Amino acid sequence: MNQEDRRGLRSAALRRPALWGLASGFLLLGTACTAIIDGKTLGDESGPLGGPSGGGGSAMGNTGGSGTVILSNGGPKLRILTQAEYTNSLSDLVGSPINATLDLPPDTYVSGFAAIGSAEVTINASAVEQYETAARTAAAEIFSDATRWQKFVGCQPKDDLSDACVATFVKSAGKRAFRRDLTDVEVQQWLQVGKDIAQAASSASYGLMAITTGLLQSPNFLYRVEVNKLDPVSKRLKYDGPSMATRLSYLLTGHPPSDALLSSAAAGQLDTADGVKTAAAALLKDPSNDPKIVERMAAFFSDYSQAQLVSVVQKSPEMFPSFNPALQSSMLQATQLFIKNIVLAPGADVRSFFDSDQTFVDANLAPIYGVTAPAASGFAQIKLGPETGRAGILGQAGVLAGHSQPDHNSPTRRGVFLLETFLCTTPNSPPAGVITVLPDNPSLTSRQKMEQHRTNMSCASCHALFDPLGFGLEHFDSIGKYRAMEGTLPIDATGAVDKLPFDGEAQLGAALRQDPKVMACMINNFYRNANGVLDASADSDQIDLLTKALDSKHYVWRDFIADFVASDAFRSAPAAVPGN
Amino acid sequence: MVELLKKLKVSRRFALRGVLGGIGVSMWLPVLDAMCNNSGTAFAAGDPLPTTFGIWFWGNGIHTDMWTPTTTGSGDAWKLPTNLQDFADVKPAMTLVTGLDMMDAQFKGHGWGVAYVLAGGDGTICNVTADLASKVPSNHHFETSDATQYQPTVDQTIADAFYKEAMDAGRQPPPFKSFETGMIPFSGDIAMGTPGSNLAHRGANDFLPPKRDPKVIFDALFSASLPTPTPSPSGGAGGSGGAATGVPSDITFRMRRSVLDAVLQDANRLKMTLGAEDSKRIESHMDGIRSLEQRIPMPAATGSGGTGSGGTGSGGTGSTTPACTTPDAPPMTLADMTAKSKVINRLVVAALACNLTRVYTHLWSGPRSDSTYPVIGINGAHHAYTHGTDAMEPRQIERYIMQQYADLANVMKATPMGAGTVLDNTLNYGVSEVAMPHDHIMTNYHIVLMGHAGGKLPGNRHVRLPGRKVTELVLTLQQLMGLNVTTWGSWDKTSKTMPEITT
Repeated sequence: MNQEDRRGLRSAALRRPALWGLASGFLLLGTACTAIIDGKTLGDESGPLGGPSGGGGSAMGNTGGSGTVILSNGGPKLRILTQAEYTNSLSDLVGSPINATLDLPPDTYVSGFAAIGSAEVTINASAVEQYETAARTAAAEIFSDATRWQKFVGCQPKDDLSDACVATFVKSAGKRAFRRDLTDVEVQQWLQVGKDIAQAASSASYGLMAITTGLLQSPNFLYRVEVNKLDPVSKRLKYDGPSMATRLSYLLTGHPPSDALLSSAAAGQLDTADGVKTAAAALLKDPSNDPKIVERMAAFFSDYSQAQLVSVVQKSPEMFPSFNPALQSSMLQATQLFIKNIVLAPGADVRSFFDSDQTFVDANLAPIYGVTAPAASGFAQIKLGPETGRAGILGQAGVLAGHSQPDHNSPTRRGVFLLETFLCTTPNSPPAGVITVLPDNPSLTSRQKMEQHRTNMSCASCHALFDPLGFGLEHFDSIGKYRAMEGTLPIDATGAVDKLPFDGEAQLGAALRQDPKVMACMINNFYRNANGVLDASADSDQIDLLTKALDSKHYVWRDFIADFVASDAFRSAPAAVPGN
Repeated sequence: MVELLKKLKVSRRFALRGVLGGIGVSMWLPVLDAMCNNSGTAFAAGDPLPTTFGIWFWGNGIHTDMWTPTTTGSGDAWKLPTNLQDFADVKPAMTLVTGLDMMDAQFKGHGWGVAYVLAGGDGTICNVTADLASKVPSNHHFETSDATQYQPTVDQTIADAFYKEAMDAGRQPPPFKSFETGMIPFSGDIAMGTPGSNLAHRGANDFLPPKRDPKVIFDALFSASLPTPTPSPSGGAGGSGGAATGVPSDITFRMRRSVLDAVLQDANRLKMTLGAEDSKRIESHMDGIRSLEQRIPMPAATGSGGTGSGGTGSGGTGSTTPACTTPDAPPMTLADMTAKSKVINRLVVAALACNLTRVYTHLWSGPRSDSTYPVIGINGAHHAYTHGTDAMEPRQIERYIMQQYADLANVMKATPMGAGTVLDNTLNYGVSEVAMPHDHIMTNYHIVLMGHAGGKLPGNRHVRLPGRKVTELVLTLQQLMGLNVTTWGSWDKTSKTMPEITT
């Protein structure tokens, strides 16, 4: 990588430093530590430029004439379909969901989001095999039902597939699968595959099944191909019409673009901000899209809060005998219901994510929350009274359990999670020589044991940023259950975030709601997720504009998204950043 | 067990039977006759038995009081340390290398260690630890949720070399270029990126995920190339069609090959429109398609579709038409982690014995793993223990992990291959991303090599080389595998080898 003409530019991406997962304290031996806040490193300017992975033909790190650094020359960019996108695209292609369970390659999460992983990951031999098996399984299911496949194909052709309707099928199914018209070469190729197999098997349906499995394995189906190009007016890399159709549709609904949307794109209607706004409004207003839209929005917030962690953590069976797969599943579902029904309720203020006094419990969760189990089976919405000490996402038992050790709390770790995830601030790694043994004194609380973090200045420079946030959550044990005391010792859950004081989690949630950095950070993460890029720092101006847009929409997330998709932040990518 | 494994050679089907974890377990494995000749001394077409390379990786390092023998040397001159005592029966095949450093042996951590021991670094030339802060590009991350390997891991380098060697010699390469298994998914506190849950990487975010489910491993190894009937499409014009008995397998194979050819055409056309990075991604996708297509059996050489000549496959071109049918694999219930580990070890050894792959890696636990070990009564997190008071738990976890590695070695010893055993023919690199995990000072790595590398590694040695580098060892391992490499690594880039392990 070219080291010349580099400017130290740290990203505000979610980077995790070393060692923060430990419950123990650190005893530093006289070394300083620095932190990275919103892209500016305190006390450490070094390192070469790392730009976002933009479109193809990238010329990373070349210096433009006026000292600008060119990030990319534009071009096509590949994003593999996530499991959800694949499943939706498959059912849209064949007209109805596939019943068989398909073993698809798992989503790769990079920097917290599968959407970013999709743009980064490379498909290898084992994934190729899984895609083949999935395609064959799906095709076998369709073609084992004569009514079903004849509806999909649109006719019942002769054994040699010579009917005109077969070419029609290839073109229309191909268009739905590839999200664009097929070229003549492609149409002929798939027709030939079909005819060859139909002849060998003396069966039309075998030939058609072959075509179907092929379409489902083609990279034109498996990858979203998004093309952008330098626009001389905006000086940004603008996505072309068909790419916008794909981007819009998958972002809002998780489904591929409809025929109508593809036609609008072909007619140039997605080339302008107004055109995109109109198309988005139509998508958002269509009642049949509603469940898909809610699902999609909720998935972002679920990934953002790392809700799924609760499904993989382990807990000490002696200390927490009730922590079993059923409880873990309830915890995850409760968080997802909170997101869908409270944070994303029609007209709801998205900031309720942090301080809402509403949540969901079932019979498994009720004892953890200290409430009576709901009368009916399943989940019920409840109000969290002040005695529960809980509010919002940080009061979710699953989120608390996901960021704890198997047998004890880790305030440092919870604090770092909070700092990085919701304040977009990444502390540096601990310096050399840290000794991590905590004093073994049962008359001290965890907070007191970690006294060194505050009194030793070389510890405090970093720990002051995140320890207080974690201690704000100390009233919740490793499985997210409330405790008034730490054993026999009182808990001190006071602290401040950006000068906003709090005592306990509910007040911490209220403080986060008020902190302007928090909304900017949320949008930063949404930008990265929507665009499938690691780093938003090259578009910090756009993030600022979007923060104002969210405010102007009274923090109703669904209304904000309509603005987001029509903004430069989504219709184009930055081509260059100013260097100085 | 020895008797059961010998049956692998003499019978077409054998049952892997036993009592694992208190539950009777039964599994049928086919012998791929066409792969091995009748006496088991060579593979089809009389090719010599190839050496194999493996990695056994565990997270969170070692504790020297349980790991460092008091003496060095060969044979009786040294004794197995406490945490390796379960290797007693295979000590003759062990080469224990201790004392190795990463650069100037400073404080760093798991995320850098895993890049170092598996890939020799990230591609940036670094000679001292301070170089990591000043020279490594800012878009290379370690120990973060977007961390990955930035260079190929050594197993992939070796796998590519083996593959090329076979193609150049006109030999059919094994069905799997490399085979990845694992035990514990990453359940740690902070995401370590792709190296947290995946060992084999070919580049950034370009990894081969390990298979952790014995049934999936079994299916991948022993069912993938065997005929699987496709449910018959019903109805259709002018025919009774719709018989429930399934498509003839040669039509299925033909369909699959024809489809994959077309998919490859699509990929090639797409590739021509892409920039450099995405082009590489598609090329890798295309490699996957090609290797899948290679595993689809070719039609029989003689027109009437018989099984061709009995037993040993079709000679000269080295094609390996399997002579067996899909085995039944009754579902197994596994009592615990130990039972699961035993099954996986045996499947991997069977794969090696029948030349299904020459490169096999096992990610027991990832770097900085925070897994618990209830199977031995340990309910706290592994990594957390290593930073706590100096307790027995992490040492017990290490011992337990090494018991499973020893089990693998013992199964290899009991499995014939050629005139010797799988253990004779293999070289397994047993390594962790750090040495002593408590203080993260990257010094005194303890590396457990198992196997005789086809006669090149004498074994039964403790070699202690303080201050020498892990890259020197890994360079030497590649040379022992026959690779024509003279330098390796970017952190501690070296052309110095470690002849001490072979003398």
